[in-house]
Amino acid sequence: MTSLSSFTTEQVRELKRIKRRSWLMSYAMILPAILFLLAFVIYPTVSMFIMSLYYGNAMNPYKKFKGLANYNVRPDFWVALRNTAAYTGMALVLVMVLSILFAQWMYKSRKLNNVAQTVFFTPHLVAGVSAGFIWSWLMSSQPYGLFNTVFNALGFSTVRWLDDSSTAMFSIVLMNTWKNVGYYCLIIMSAMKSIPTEIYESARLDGSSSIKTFFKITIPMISPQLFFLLITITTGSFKVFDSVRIMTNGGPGDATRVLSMYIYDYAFERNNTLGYACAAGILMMLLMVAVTVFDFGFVEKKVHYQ
Amino acid sequence: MIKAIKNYFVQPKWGLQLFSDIVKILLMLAFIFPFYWMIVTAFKSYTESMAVPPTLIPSVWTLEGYRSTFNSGLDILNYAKNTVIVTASVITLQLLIMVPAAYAFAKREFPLKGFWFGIVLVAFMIPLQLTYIPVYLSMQSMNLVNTLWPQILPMGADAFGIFMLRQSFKQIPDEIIESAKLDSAGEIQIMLRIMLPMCKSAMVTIAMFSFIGTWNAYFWPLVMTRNESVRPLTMAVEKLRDVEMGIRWNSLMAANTLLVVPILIVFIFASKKIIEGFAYRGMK
Amino acid sequence: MAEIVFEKVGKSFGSTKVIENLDLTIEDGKFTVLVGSSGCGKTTLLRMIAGIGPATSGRILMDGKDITHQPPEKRDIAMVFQNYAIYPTMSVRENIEFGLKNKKVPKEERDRRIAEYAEIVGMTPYLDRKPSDLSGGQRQRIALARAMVKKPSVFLMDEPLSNLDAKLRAAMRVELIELQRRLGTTFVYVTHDQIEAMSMADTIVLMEKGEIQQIGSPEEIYHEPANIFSAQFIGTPPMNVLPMEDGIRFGVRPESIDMEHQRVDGMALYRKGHIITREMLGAEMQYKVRLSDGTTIMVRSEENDRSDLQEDSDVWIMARASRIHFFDKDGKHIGHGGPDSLLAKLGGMNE
Repeated sequence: MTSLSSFTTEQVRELKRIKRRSWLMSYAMILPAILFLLAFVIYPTVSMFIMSLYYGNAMNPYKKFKGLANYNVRPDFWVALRNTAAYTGMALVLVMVLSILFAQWMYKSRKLNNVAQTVFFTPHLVAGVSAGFIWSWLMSSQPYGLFNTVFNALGFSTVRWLDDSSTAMFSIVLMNTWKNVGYYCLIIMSAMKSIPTEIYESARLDGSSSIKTFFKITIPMISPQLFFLLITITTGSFKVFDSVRIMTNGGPGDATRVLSMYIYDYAFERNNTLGYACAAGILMMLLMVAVTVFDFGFVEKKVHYQ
Repeated sequence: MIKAIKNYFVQPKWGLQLFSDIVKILLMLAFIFPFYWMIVTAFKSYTESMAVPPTLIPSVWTLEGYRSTFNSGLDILNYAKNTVIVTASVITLQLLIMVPAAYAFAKREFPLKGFWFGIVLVAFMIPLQLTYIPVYLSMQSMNLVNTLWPQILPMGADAFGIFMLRQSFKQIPDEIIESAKLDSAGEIQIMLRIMLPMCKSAMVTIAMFSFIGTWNAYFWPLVMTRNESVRPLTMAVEKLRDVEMGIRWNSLMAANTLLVVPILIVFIFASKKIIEGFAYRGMK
Repeated sequence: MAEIVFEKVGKSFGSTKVIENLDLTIEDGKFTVLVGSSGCGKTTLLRMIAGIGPATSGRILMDGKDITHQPPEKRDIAMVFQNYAIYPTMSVRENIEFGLKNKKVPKEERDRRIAEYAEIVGMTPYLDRKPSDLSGGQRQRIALARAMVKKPSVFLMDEPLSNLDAKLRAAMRVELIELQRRLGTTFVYVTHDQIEAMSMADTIVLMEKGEIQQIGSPEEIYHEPANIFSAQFIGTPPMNVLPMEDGIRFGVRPESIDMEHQRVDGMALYRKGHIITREMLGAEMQYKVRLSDGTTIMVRSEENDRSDLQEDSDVWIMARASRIHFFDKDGKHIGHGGPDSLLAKLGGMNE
């Protein structure tokens, strides 16, 4: 502030007073938000890490210092991790492919497409608990289960959906695809609609076939949104909990015990494993960060930004 | 109408279009079928709900499912009351906290602004699934576990909402604020008379997100409560499965409609606004 | 009524200095136009007067009173912004009324003034509309009414016409001049458009890189440019400036050049040229001509029916002594039509 030198001291004082008042006002405005974020997000994250170094329970989280011992994970951690990975992989493929197809299919502005868009989106608004129950009911392996009734009528044999460890995870993915595909489709469609029509017209004048146009123009042009989807679906899949808890509660056996449920179990349903649950939680966050960093490092290079 | 139909068959490749439209309609029916199935099951008797093969339309429409929900020994009305109170409080709290913060981050200069906004960004990336254990312990130490507060207070820290609202404040040109200053308007007046009305749409969108999110919340109440009297409707539905001898699907679906139908009604009235809001959230 | 004086004023954003040690007096009751290319500091000066972007050094006086740190609402000014800054959630009436309400002007007085100024800008039928229903020109009028209704002693305008289409812009230019004559208030008007500056100003303040290049009436700026920058800023196309020896340059405006197939006697400048392009602009013709040394110049002529001056024809480029400006090696104006020593040197270079 050397340029203030030509002001009189009184002017400088006045200037500072005005500035200070404006700063105070600004701080008063952000203070509640910052306090809440510190109290309910930042502090808990730090505290979670500290707890992960201890042996304890909800009544006494800091019973005994254990260093990094909690990070020496138990064998069932790998089962949970594998389940989460399986869920994520299936969800990624299914949701990505379907939402791109749906978006292309409903791209044109027509009444039917507008209605279809609304219909496909509806399940996204419903609670995971509700959706889980409805689908458990549809997928019931009892003779009165609707899906199996239809299957049997079509000549297929009964599928035990949620009660069979080989199909349970896929069944949950299927339900969540129904729940989420409309939302992702919406994002892709808005991206598609923001592509200037002149580009398509120019491609047609250049004699490009519609399949070629789709792969050479549409897909590259919507790649930022595809990238967003990749990140959202991956991190979302890591957090999946409600639907799993309602539909299978981790079973049969441990076939659908995903990471978030694993952490929950160790935190609240067992004795003196709070520190271990915290360690698993920190590991889960690191994994999410790693996947995101990987995405940014390798996939984003291929993304076309306008 | 006739003209519209005529036009349809004039377009090139109308056969393909017709096929595509029929598939689309069938798929739409498939997408809403689970809701239909929930509603009709709720109106079936217990015996009919277990009929083999299942009936697509109830042979007798009955309120038996709803009756057994309310007679299950669960105080459904209290659960519903909790959901409503928590949802309304969360929306209010979030707006009260977010609006001034978003405004300051968007339109005011102050020291360490970058640092504080950095905290918002960091918080934005930390999932609830991670923070619940320490939050629960704090609530426990403050003796708040048997109240509704643990479901309300932590939601006040909505980094995403601050982020989104800031974006919308930023779009307002600085000249409008300067012009208001020249028109002798004070800070508070600029915010209440000019900025808030201009961001009404963004605030409605945010309120809508928190309505949907809080209404549907299951994980957070599950980890934050130890007492049925403070639990929301989502947990009542789950509880209903466990208290009965074997699952009574008609009663479970009846409870489920109580949870789903309010959301569907809001969606029917504001589908355009909601879809726009979600699309906006995705594009950012 | 107010006179505004800048005394050694400076402005820096962080470590970049936009303006340093600037002195300027804006006369009371005059239409002053600050003109220059973008980033020249003209808007910065305007915002200092308004109090929405205070100076970081020096003083600003309004009628002798130091207003450097006075908050905007305490200054007796009104401003019209480039994007109009209309409050979109308020009706036209509320927009105009907002400033008065904040100043606690009584209701009857407010209504009287709103009616008066809405009438002046022709917006009376639209008072209860929302701005989003109105056209660009109508929003512009609201912004004007909103400024006038406060009866300020200084009007500040930041490129208020640049968002209008060409026709409306020309019409509004005339209206603004009339308005200023009628109100007799000090107007400070910022623009990058030299035509706006020339047509509206009593006084033009020409700026570049935070420094004032020239202050003067439009006639002075056109006929007596202080330097090459000033000479080339005003006029379309800009003045042709060609080198002489020792870093001295001479300039001649495109409209001051005579172009013929034959040499005409009595001129000071004779050069051979070759017409490259020929543009018919309606009332005028514009030519791009290549001289024998390879440089190109622009020529503008009011003779718009010369079918003999076609592309690819050879011509004589000529100009009278009084039309020729000389600039020294720093670009400063030495004079026009003289001194004789330079005219003689120019004659020596003739073809």
